[in-house]
Amino acid sequence: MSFDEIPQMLVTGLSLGLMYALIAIGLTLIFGVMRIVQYGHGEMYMLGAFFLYYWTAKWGLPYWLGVAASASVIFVLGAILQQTLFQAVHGRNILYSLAIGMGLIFIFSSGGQIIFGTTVKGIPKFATGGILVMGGFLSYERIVISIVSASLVVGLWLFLQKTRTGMAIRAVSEDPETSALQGIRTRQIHWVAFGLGSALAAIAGCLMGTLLSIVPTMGFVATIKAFMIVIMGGLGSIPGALVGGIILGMIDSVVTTVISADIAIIMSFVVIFLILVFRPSGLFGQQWT
Amino acid sequence: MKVEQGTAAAQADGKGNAAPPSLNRYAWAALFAFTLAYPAAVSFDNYLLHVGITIAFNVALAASMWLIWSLGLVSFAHAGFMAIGAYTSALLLTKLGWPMWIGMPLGAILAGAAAVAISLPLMRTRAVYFFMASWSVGEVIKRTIAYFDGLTGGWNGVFDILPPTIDLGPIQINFADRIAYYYLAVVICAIIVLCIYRINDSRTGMIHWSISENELLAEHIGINVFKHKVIGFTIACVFAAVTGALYAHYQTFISPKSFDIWKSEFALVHIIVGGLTTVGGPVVGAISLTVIDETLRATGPFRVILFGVILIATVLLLPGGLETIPGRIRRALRGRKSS
Amino acid sequence: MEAKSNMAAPRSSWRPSRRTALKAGAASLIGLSAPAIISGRAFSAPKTIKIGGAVPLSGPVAYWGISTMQGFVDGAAVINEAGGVVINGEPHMLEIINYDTKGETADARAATLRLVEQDKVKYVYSQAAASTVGMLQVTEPAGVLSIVACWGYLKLFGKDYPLHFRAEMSDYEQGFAYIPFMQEHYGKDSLKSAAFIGPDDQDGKDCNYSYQRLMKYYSIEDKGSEYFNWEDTDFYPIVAKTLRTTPDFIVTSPTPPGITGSIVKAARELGYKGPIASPAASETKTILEVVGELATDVVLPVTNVDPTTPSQVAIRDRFMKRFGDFNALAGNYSWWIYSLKAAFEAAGTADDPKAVAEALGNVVLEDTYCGKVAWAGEKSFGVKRQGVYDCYTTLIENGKARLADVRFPALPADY
Repeated sequence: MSFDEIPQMLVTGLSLGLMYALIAIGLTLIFGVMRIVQYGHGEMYMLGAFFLYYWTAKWGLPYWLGVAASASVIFVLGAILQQTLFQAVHGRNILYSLAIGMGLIFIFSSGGQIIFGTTVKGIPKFATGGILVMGGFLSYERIVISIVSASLVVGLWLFLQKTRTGMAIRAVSEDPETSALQGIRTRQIHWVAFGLGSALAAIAGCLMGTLLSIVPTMGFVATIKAFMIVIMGGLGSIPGALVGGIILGMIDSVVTTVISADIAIIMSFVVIFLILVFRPSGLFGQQWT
Repeated sequence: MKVEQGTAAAQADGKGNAAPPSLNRYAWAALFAFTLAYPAAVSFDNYLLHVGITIAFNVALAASMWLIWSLGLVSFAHAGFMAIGAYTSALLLTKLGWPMWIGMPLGAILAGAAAVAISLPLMRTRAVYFFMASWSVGEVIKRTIAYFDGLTGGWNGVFDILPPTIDLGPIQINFADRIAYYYLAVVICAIIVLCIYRINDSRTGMIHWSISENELLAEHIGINVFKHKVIGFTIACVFAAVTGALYAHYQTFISPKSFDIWKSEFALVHIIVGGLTTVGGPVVGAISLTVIDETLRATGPFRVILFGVILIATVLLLPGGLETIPGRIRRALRGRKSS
Repeated sequence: MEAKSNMAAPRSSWRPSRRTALKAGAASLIGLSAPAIISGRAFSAPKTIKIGGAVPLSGPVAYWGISTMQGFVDGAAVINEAGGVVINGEPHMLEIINYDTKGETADARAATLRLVEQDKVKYVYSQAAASTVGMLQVTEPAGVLSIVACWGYLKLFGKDYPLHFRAEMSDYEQGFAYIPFMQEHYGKDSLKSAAFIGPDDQDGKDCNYSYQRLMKYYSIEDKGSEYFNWEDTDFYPIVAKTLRTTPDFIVTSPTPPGITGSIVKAARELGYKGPIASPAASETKTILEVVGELATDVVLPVTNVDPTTPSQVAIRDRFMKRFGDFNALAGNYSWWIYSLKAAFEAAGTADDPKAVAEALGNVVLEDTYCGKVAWAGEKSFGVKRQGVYDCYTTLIENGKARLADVRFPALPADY
């Protein structure tokens, strides 16, 4: 390994980590508010990417408007799924939400293969070219996408801290009964948070799909990554998801470059295991029971 | 995760239930009698015997995972421990020529030792965190097997894992015969289910449910929670390893991909659809879902979608799973009588 | 014994009624594939030959499985329409049965058991290594003939598996077409070393073995191999590591088009200029979509995206009508069933898979979607069980794909 690869590795790891974090924050938000596991979260990521694909490649509409439209559509889809499926298992054993999520994985990934076709697709680029930073190449696309992901994370944090809805979401995550007593309509908060979490996954899908390629079966891998991150960072914790995402992104980037990809994936599981053993509620988590 | 387990603990010993325990026994006896008569019932159709063997594997896997669940834990390391049993037995046969009768117990012992060692740190975690940590354990086992390809064949897998034979002079059985293997699988599966049933029916079972319901409380009334968790987890992992060895010698080919996350996930789905509170749940769940999956095979691309729809529909329309059906029928009949 | 068959023959007479097409489309969609029965009604209870597919129709490799199935469903309809398979003067209709395997070994075994033991099928086909391994456990002992696309597991191929045919050229056979082409196109001196990128599983390891044999044969220095995980999302790290060895060209195999696109994109962004060959991508649209104008010097063997001959055009049009979709891969697989038909007719039986296998090894088709097709490999494997055909190599240059080369692989003398 030579030194000029270090910036390359770090930036790749950071951009990857930020995108992982975006998926994971959606998942952690949903868990925090509803205390259910949305195992089909990665499918929102997949559907968001395919929406953008049709928007730009098929209908020829502008890219960033498409990202916004994709987020809105998936927000509505998430809210509908919450109302029709997940509300029914709210408060019941967490395994039931897990089973519904698994059912959604089956339906969306296989249904996607029938509707979108089984071939791999690519979302048209919004920028080309790049710059050299200390001997490492950075494409403009990657820079813009990293900035967008980072600002979304900050934006979401501000939203949760400063706005009424945001505070209501936090209140419901902290203590549903008391917030209901205080006049917060918890049911409404449920679908808002669910929609918001799904929309974040959709945006991550759009961005990741632009950098790479998209297939209807890509959702499950995203779910796995999001799960690893959320639990490593601590369920319900947004800083945890951010830090977890970056840890995973860095392992993927650095260990793959320095050693090999199979060691990288073993290592990421070992790291999670060790984090959980020494911090049984994740890095920033509280003890949920 | 604790919401529904109050009723669970009450029903688990069979005494809190309205039905007399004897009825339960009749149901089990009927099921076992049917499995014994099954080959003749399907007039020895080889393919249907294959389905029966697959069901036996799935039942054993789901039931042993359910034993961990009775402690309030969902373990996704299950496929990993199944892999340890399968690979131990397979490699002993292909490298050293040792038959399954030695390989299976050795695999079980190895898996048990690994389970004890890993559960010492693992049991520090709880609930969803345990789920993820155990998932990591399963993935690391699978990928480590793939990594040491000199010994294990790596991703290429292990071939020619022949089924065992019995040679006792007058009695000679070659388990390459599908009917023979069917009975082998059914008997081992029945032993596993019976063991789990007995454990659950005993004082240990009640301790399990009390841990599952409130770990802190259990600790305060003098239960050694950590010890019970480690022992329960280890027993279940040993059962998974036995199933793994049985699986390997039936499929005659295994690779790390045979033990991926979906093995654990389907076992969990079987439990959820079957029901969480009695060992009958995973048994019924595994039987019905395996049959459904085989039936859906001919629908090609729609197979997975339909499976998903059935899964969601069962969870939403039949809260508590298939195991609640007898109770529902009973209540419905009683309701009609009283009116 | 040489049985020749002309795939183009039925094209002029084949005029599907809307209803037949709809029915066939619907049937193939649910995998039940009844076109044989539909068009077979005209005959007075003709005999049928069942052909079974244990192919991935769902899951991550469904793309390959569905393409394979389409070839059989379409081919059976065409053959039945034209009077079926004529064995000793008597017409036989083809019936296709498909079961999903999800691309998993154990599942493929179950699907094959169902085909062989319940449906009493004597001829089966499959797709991809995992399904093939599962299928072979059943078919060979049961005396059932299998045609598959499988690149690895060479120990499950050859003399010991006389009923097992591998119709798709692996990256090894393809190499004898695309490497000579690259040497001509880029100059032998600019291609002195190579590196390999593949998935971290048995397919990747097997293709690496083919790659190493090829490099040795053409005296090209091997600069090393890198493997990615299927879970990987970003290919920058692995490509950066490969580029450190400064290879003259890169082979990505067996890497699907999307990941090939990502690898090409990463390589070009990182400033790599050499050609990148991908023997498994068989797709240009995805690569162009993913990579954009950075896509240049991408060599895609066995990728005939733009049919030219009348019979190729006919196949594309028929697939578009029947399935609403056509890809080069489906085209590559479309000749399998015609080869089987020729073997039935040459063997004079459809009841004895051994005799049919004997005849199939000698079948040569002149005008398929892949041009000329023959079975080879007698010296390497002891039997002629490996399909070899004209390699249509597509080249992507400056964001545009064009058919750059057609040649029959120049197999070594001892192949």
